[in-house]
Amino acid sequence: MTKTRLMIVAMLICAVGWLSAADQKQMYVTVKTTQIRATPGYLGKPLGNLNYGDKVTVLDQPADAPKDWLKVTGPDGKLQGWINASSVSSKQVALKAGATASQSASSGDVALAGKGFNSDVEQQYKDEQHLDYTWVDKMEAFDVPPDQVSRFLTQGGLSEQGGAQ
Amino acid sequence: MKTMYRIGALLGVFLLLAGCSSLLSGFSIGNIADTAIGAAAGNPSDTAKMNQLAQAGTAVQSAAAEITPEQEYYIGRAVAATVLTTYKAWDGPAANAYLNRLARGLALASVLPETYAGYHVLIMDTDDINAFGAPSGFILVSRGLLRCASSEDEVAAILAHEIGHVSLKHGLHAISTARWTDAALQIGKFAAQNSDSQVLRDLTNSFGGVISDIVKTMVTTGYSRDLEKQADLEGVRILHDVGYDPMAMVRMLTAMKARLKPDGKDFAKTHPDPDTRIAYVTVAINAQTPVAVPTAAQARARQVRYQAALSKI
Repeated sequence: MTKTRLMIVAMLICAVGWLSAADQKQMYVTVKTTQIRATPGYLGKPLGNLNYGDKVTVLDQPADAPKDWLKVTGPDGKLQGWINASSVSSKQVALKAGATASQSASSGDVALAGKGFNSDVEQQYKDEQHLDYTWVDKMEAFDVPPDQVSRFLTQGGLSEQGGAQ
Repeated sequence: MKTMYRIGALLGVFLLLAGCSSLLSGFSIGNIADTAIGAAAGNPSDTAKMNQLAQAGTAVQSAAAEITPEQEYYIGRAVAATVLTTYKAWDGPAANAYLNRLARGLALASVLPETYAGYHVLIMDTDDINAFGAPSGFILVSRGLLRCASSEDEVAAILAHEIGHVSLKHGLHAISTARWTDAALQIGKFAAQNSDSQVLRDLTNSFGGVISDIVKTMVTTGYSRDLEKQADLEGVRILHDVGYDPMAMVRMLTAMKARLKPDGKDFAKTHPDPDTRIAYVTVAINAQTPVAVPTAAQARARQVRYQAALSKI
């Protein structure tokens, strides 16, 4: 009898924990820059930019939502649209202006945000190893705007959803 | 006393039900950061724990699970810069632009369509048959490998395999546990006191170790057979989902096999035998739904742009 009661109490505690976690639905952008889009899919019309570390709020998903896309509101709470699920994380990945690591020392994830291997480390490493990043910078500058990708796929009878469209 | 037992039992049941995976999967870098911050603030128990961690080489959760996209990006840049000390870049604007368009299109069907700063491709000026998918999407492909291809679908097969390595974070799997434990400690210290130049030097040393592990695996020893198989299978899935002929992967492997030098320093050394790869790739393709055949105009568009970009490779 005692065991049963303990079990019920434990399950209630878990349920409360899960419910409060579900209420939050806050996620953080994990790419340097991306777009919030009018429709799910990379070829959907961009409504606005999101940057690394921006917080988005995940909304209730429509029944017909594609599995890899999330309907969200942007950091200002106004912009509403779609973002790929692989471009957000429930872990906070970067500190926004005004915050410091010490202010958030209660959470290791937050304390680490923006720390670790960063541009300071890269500069030190580059100097020590006499590494030439010229071509790495050049290759990173090869830019392919989404409309070019779209045209490239369409002309070849290809698409992000499958070919010979 | 009875109450104590009850509380203990309750806690035990709660942890069991909550399925606290983090308790079972080793120390996380977040835990280490908290400990390092406590140590920096002069907390003796945290200082003792940091020393224990350093001495024991405590297994930290894998780098692939822990590292942030921004850190992966800096790792990828350094890996690419290091590979480019061995292989020079090939300055062919039209060819590089074409490969970048192709890679972006393919990546849309991967499990990671966007990386921190996107996928980027650069041609290496060498006859060696080789390609590298460095973390965060820095893909290097040799002229020798591109010459094995005779169509856009086959070039797509090369890039889809590399996008497989990137999106499945295989580069980060190459970081040894000991190396990652050390890096996690240094990152934790750095989070606590990043103005300290000695801490920055220590962190840079750890960074160098991480780069060394990845480059050694990619260039010298090769990924495990299992990871290569994962990249091959993810590659044929991407080809299929975008609409390329997945059999292009088999044609590429056949062409590479024909040029294989058994004692070569390129893919012959770092990849499983082509026949083995062809066998499991063919099984995977046979299980896929057929890809729609492009119209004559679409097929011609692919071949024309392929020829325009890579005929002089």
